[in-house]
Amino acid sequence: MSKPDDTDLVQRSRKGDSQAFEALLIRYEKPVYNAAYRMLDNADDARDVTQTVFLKAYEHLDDFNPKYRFFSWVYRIALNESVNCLNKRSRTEELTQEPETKTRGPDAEMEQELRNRQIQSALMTIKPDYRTVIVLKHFMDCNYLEISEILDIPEKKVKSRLYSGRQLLKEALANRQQM
Amino acid sequence: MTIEQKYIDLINAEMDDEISAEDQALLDAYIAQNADARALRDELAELGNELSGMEPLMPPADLRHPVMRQVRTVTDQAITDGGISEMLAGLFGLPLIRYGMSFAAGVVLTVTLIGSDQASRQAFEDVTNLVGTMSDTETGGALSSGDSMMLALNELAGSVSLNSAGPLMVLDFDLASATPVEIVATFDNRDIWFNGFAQLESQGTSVSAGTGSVTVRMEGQRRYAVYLHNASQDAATVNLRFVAAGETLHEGQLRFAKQN
Repeated sequence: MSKPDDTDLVQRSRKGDSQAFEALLIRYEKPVYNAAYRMLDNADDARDVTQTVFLKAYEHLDDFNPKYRFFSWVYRIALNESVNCLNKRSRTEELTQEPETKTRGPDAEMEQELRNRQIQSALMTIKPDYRTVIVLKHFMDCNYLEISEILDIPEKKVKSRLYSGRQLLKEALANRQQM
Repeated sequence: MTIEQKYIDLINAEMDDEISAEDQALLDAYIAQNADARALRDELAELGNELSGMEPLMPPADLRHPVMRQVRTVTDQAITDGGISEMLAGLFGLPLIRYGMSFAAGVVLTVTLIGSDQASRQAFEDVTNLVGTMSDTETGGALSSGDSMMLALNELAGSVSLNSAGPLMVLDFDLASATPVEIVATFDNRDIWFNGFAQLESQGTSVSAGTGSVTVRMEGQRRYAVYLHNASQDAATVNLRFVAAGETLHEGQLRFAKQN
């Protein structure tokens, strides 16, 4: 039996079918959590944001326009919530500690972990506007059109932000390697 | 040698799999003659490989169930009241706090605790009469959050946290287990004794207490609290052991720091 599509699940959720909403949650919790984590670099915040995203999505199901894709809508909420979280964070505290890094495992695994940590840290140094497009492109596998739809900006702007973002990320990584 | 902007755009487009066959041919011809363009393409390809080499993370096992608990509460209430929009507006206007959101909104929550004065230093063997429901720490306002642990095992997932208010310590369990699980909590501080038990919206969790330890048995999705009295309010460690079918699944500690 084929899986119900998002539109069907959204319609059923609107009618109060909590199982349908749970199916959407199961389908998208991983990408939403990953997007939030890459934006925030903090597992607890990513979890909170993901939970907020789905509760907000449920709250506003009636506002969802079916001409758009559900994932575009939910990713947009996720990125907005992540930016809100970053704003709150910058108002209340400065990042003073490097997030935890797993140090167990074989050397190759450790090296990969370390490299991932460097990339994530470099990602955190670039402005959220640029980080957002990199997250959507490289971690969520969205194409230009989808990114444009999610962020509600023209494709041309998506491209320019992506190019600039990568440039900034390359520079940040190079700086970290020199340190 | 510089790179024309048009070709920088094409290199990026190639990286994003958004290049036409015609443009690809154009780019290949240009790159064959331009070392800088080749270098840029290599650099970007390396960056792209590194980004795509970062494995997706698994969301925490306890992410879903607080959301669904809240959604189901809304749905059930809406069916009863016939007004989902008003219900939602009221519910989601509340601050979403890690601890507080796990409680089902709309459910009347009260505290059933035996007062500290009623508790003797003798540990309870029969705690049947102490079972009540839980209060929200946010609305109660008295408890301060402390140490916590997350579990993401095949057999058991969720969180356990240790909160406190004066001499009252609350072990808050928010767990889902696939099989019957026994959780043994032991305390290193002899001034601590078992002071009560409460659970939210469920039955079937059993509790027994001995001197210096409390054992809880559970299966399925459960939210409950074990109340402890820390008479001296000194620093303390609660050791937790999670056992299923006689095998230890996990061991951990929650620490209570002495309040100034």
